[in-house]
Amino acid sequence: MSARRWVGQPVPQTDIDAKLAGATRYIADLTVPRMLHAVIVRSPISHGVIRHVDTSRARQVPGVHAVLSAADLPDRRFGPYGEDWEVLASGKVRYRGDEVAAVAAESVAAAREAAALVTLDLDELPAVLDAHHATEPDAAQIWEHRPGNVANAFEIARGDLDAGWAQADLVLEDTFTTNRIYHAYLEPVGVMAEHHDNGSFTLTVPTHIPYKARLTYARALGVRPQQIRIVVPPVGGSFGAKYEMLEPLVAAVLARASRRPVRLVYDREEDASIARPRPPFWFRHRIGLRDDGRFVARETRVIGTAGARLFWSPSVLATAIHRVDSLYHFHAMAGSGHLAYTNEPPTTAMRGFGNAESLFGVEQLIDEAAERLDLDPVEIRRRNIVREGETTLHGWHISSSQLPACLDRVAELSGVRERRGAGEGAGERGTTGLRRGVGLAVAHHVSGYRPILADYDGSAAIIRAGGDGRVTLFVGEPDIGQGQATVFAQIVAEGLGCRPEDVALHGVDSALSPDAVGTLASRATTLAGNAVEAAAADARAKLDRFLEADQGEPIDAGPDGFAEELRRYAVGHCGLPLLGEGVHRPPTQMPNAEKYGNPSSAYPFAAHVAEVEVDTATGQVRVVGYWAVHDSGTIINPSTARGQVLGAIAQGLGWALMEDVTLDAGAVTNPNFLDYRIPGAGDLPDGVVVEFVEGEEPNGPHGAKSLAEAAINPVTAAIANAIHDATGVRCRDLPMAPERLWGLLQQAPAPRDREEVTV
Amino acid sequence: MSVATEPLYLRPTSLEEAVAALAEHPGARPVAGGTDLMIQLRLGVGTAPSAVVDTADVLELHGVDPTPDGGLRIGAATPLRTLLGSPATARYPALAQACRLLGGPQIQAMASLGGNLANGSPAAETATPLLVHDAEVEVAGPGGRRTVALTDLWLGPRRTAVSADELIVAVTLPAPTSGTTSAYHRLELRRSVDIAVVSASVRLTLDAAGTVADARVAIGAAAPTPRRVPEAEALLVGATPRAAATAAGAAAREAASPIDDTRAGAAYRAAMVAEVTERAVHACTDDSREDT
Repeated sequence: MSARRWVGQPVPQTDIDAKLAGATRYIADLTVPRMLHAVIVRSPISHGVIRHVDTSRARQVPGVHAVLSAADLPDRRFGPYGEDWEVLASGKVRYRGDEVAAVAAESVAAAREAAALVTLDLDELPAVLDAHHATEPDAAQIWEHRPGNVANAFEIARGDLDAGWAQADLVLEDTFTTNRIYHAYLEPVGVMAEHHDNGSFTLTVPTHIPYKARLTYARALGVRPQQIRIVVPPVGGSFGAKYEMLEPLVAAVLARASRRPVRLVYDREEDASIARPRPPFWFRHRIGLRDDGRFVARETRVIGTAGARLFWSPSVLATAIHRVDSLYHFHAMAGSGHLAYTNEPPTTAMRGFGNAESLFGVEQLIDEAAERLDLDPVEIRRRNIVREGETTLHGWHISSSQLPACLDRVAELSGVRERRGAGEGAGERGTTGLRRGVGLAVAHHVSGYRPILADYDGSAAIIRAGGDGRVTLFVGEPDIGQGQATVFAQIVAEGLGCRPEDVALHGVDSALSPDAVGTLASRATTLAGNAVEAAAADARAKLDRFLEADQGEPIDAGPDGFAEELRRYAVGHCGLPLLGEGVHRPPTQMPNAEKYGNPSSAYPFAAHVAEVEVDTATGQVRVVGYWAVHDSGTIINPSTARGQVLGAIAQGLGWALMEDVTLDAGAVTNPNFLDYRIPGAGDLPDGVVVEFVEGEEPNGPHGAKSLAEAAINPVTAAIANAIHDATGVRCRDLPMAPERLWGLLQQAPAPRDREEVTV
Repeated sequence: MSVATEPLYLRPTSLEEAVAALAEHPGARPVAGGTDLMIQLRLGVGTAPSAVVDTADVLELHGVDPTPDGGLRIGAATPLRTLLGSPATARYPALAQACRLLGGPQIQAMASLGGNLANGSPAAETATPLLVHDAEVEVAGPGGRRTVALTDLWLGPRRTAVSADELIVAVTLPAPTSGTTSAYHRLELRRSVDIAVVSASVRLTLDAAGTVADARVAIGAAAPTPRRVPEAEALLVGATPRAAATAAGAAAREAASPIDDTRAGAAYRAAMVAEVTERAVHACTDDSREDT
């Protein structure tokens, strides 16, 4: 491959100036003439029969244009995974916060006043507030079409498990739990809906999967998908929360009823109370090893919490059960699990998507196995990881992997091999014992996932380069704040011969942009990036053909001559802009009925080491060092890539040590940033080391593959392993907050007196 | 949820006007930085005030000034950042440490000492440092001025001895006697902008032999109000700090009546009261601490 001019450069984010200046217009900044404000009336109880919803007094409030309950809407059930969504709850309410009625008014104050006047006549039913209890015979039934409250189940088995266990010299088994995590994006959920005279809608929604969401919304609104135009505004972060949301539908029915545009924007408290957190999981992991450290079998049982409705938790469950088989060779496995309906806020996808949850336990069990077998943590992993060119148990093909090199490099940088087990304390002070430890964890992820959309997996891009020298790129994969626009701009610049700053990524608009699978499963750079590369090549080829045929002087001034080239092209085509189109068809397979087949183009890898200092008297953990070495193929932008990893470490550190959405009788008790703590700069160690071992991924644009999710996946396990190294205590539940760790330390023998565990 | 009536906004330019405004508008609340009050207003916590009386232009409520007897008078509306900027504050190390930990720089630029006390939170950052430094508050109302010892200020969670028609004018601290040192220690769940799970302040006056001649111990977020722990103080007097630290911590734990909430369970809080108290005792004699 020829030398790259823009790919691989730390190009500043193309949209950063507007963001820093506060000029980026998010939903809450958008107003349109005649716009109304929406407020949702929510259930005050966890479970109950709706006798009557009285909206008469609310309708009297001046400025109110619509007050709706399920009685005003067609009886329609729909949803991405089950027939368990309704625009407004009918028949029953199923969680504290369930959407029962909605108001549109000329001011937020009037809408709130009216919402307070909606009277709910509810007959309370017993509530199910625990996933384990949900499937017991005495639990209340939440959905009539899912007896036993099993919302979704997943099962998979591969290889000769009996033979595997028979070979095992050491079997380790334990229970791990992961918790509800709030995505804590900067921008709370906000949407705008417009209803047009021809019966169509324009929905302005910060979703990452506009085309898939549109299918759900069309069913909900009783229109054809083409009758919904989806416009994606700038997105102030999502991390998975904003895939498919209910809020656009509430705004849409209000817009239809009021014949006015309707905006619905949550404040932080409502967002954190209602917006769907990461699903909590209970894991029972069992792994078998020979005494040389090679894995021979594993079994996993998983129980997750769906909450009252299914958002994206089913895919998260499947990932939690079987993705780890493409990181390690277990040779034989069986995994099963289910999601329970509960009378709690629904849960959904979040960065890491079940893989991070699974690895929290698996990477701790492997650490424990290394200790028992007297292997170093690098070596035990090296003996079991899936290598480049291999096809895994479920038929996943690893087209590139630098994980062995990442392991070596992170070990070298951190000294984890030498320092683990060294029992480093940092002095005694009063009753304080400060103890240090280091922990390693590795991870992988996907770059796209074939089953997301039944129709196709690939991606398409359109480039419009006008005679004014401006290049506009249209793709269906929205930038959700992660820097996608910049990466695409670099790929366009590389192929088209302009500069990255000449390229603007147009916000996804279903009236303009290509149809698409969307920005999820860490797929945008890899899949859409290929389409963007193809579109740039197509445009460049057209431009070169024209310039060659054109009688003018050849322009060979590089990016400086690009605008002149475009001007001549437009003049030569009576004003037609240069258009490039690109299609990428990835070599992925839809897994078959046995769930066998390669679903992803490429697999990124990561090896992380955390160093912690544990205050044994208080249970406080300080992360004092962190080393992250990644294989994401070619790094298109080292600056934004480093930012992705640093952000993931911060997010993972928060999850590991402090973040927890707490519920009391089904209601979130900490819906604000005082009580729901995310880490600040002071909680991160100085001098976090981030490195990339760059290989060439054959299926990625310029050899690139994904990064975003692989970066969070090892963090909680690395910190857990470091805490164990420091204190001898295994924390198998998240978060490993001071009070929990203090409780474990109270029960544990003093670290130095700890007896060796024998097999 | 109902639409609260907007409170009146009043901006007096003298203490007399401020007191008159409070008398004229029953249910009015004085405001300085508003870092507690404005959030409570927005969330609808407590009774909505009929008016907010902004103290920004009441000069008597501002400033950090020496008193004739060598102590310090801090205007109730003085922002913590101003307080931290005054060299005199360093003579009260526990107070300086607590101010530095309260919120972040933006909050310190707005929040006032008087507001922190008047808000009545059991976890108020500056409460225990002021308790151990024997602070008094000066209160003004329709009946004139009166002085309230800090130990008498709090009646319960969010209830103070300052009546609805009064406001805190200033906080006065006596001069620290020679050989006196103090320290503030808190348990937090993260290092960036947090509220104490529990906290303790300790002031010790040491004699030439390093024995404690006088002691104050106060604990925060561990009882319905910030409070002193005389039992711990008695254990420290006559001993060396190092020898008596653990016992003082245990006494503080005995005196605590912590609650379970989203931040921590009562059992953990109780254990941590002992821990932070003991650490605050050690910090008084620890050469490495920031303020001396």
